[in-house]
Amino acid sequence: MTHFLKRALADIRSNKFLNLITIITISLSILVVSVFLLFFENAGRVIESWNQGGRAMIYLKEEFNADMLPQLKAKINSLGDIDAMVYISKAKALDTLKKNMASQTTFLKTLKENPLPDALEIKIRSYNNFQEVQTLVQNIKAIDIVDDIEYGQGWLGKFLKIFNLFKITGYAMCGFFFLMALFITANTVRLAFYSRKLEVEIMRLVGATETFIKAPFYIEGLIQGFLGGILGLGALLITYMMVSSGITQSLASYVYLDIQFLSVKMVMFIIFSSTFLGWFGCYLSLKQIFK
Amino acid sequence: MNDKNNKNSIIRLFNVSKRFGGKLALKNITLDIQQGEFIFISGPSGAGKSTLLKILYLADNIFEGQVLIDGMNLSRISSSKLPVLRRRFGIVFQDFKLIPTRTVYENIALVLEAAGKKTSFIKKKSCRY
Repeated sequence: MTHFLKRALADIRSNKFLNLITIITISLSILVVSVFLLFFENAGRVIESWNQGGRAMIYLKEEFNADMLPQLKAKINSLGDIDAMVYISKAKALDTLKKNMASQTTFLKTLKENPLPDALEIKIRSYNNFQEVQTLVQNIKAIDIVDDIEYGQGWLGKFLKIFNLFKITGYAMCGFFFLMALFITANTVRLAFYSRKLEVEIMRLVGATETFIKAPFYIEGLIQGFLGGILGLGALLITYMMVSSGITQSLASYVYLDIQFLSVKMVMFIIFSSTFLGWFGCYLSLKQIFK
Repeated sequence: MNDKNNKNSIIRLFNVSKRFGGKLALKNITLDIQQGEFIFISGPSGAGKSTLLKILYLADNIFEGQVLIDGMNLSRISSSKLPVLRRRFGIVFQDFKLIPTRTVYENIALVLEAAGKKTSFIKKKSCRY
């Protein structure tokens, strides 16, 4: 193993420029991919916080009375995709309103009767899928006693449409950069192989196994992928540190924003993927050379 | 050549022929080399001496006839067994097969490295002379 590692490092040293270009290409690809992942992770968190984890309010008609509640709950539950359901009576809703408005409650005393409707607060499970949410909402609306349902349909719909558009663009870009990095890695390994063609030929003639010949190239690919991943994530971290505090401060007064760096799990996944990318590029190249 | 005792045969060739395009380089070579025998193959340039050697260590594996080396049939040898066979050969190549970017020590050590020998053994063996 030490021998293979030494050989791989010697190869990298002797083809410094080529290896540097490959590592930079991989790191740029990883940077682009991780920018999208960072956006998706944060956008998901922001949607969740803005939408309070898929919270929706079902307003009930005047004729509703507490006896109808168990039957209504069962009916809504049977429509599926609901995590939690809390009944808020009109009296409780008025109390909450009074508490929330604190000093400005004098006008509420002028009310002859409670104008607020009975309501059910629900949490929708798959609230990131707007079509599913819409279908569920329509089914709930179809229940006789339900007057209206409020779930932030306006902005959520628009935001999710933009988010999904970004997602598709993101996947396409990630795929494109992944392929680009893959071909460049494969090409670097191919060039490294040709620069060592005589050595490989001699090794074959004196009885080296295929594994013995290929191993340094694979290690080279793994090193390129690993370093590319680390560099790409490092660049992302620096950009994140420079940009995130500025964005959060300037937009904090308008919207709730909590921009966080990628989770440890995601960082590990990216490093693993880029290392795999290096290996896979090498595999493709050697498969073609040795066929 | 000697064909008295097949038990001691180390290299045997049966009707080995080799063509380059339409040109015949080797024609029906049959020979039997015994263990410990010292053999010279001579001939003018282009007679097929190198071609014959290349067939023996399978640098050229497209030929007609049968070649047996220590009981192993080269026509049927698997790619995984080929390195094992080659490790049993000691060949001085016509073009020396030296890597100009490596030191003398590294060039010597390469053969032992390829054979999977340990570093300590390689050092000891390579620095012997």
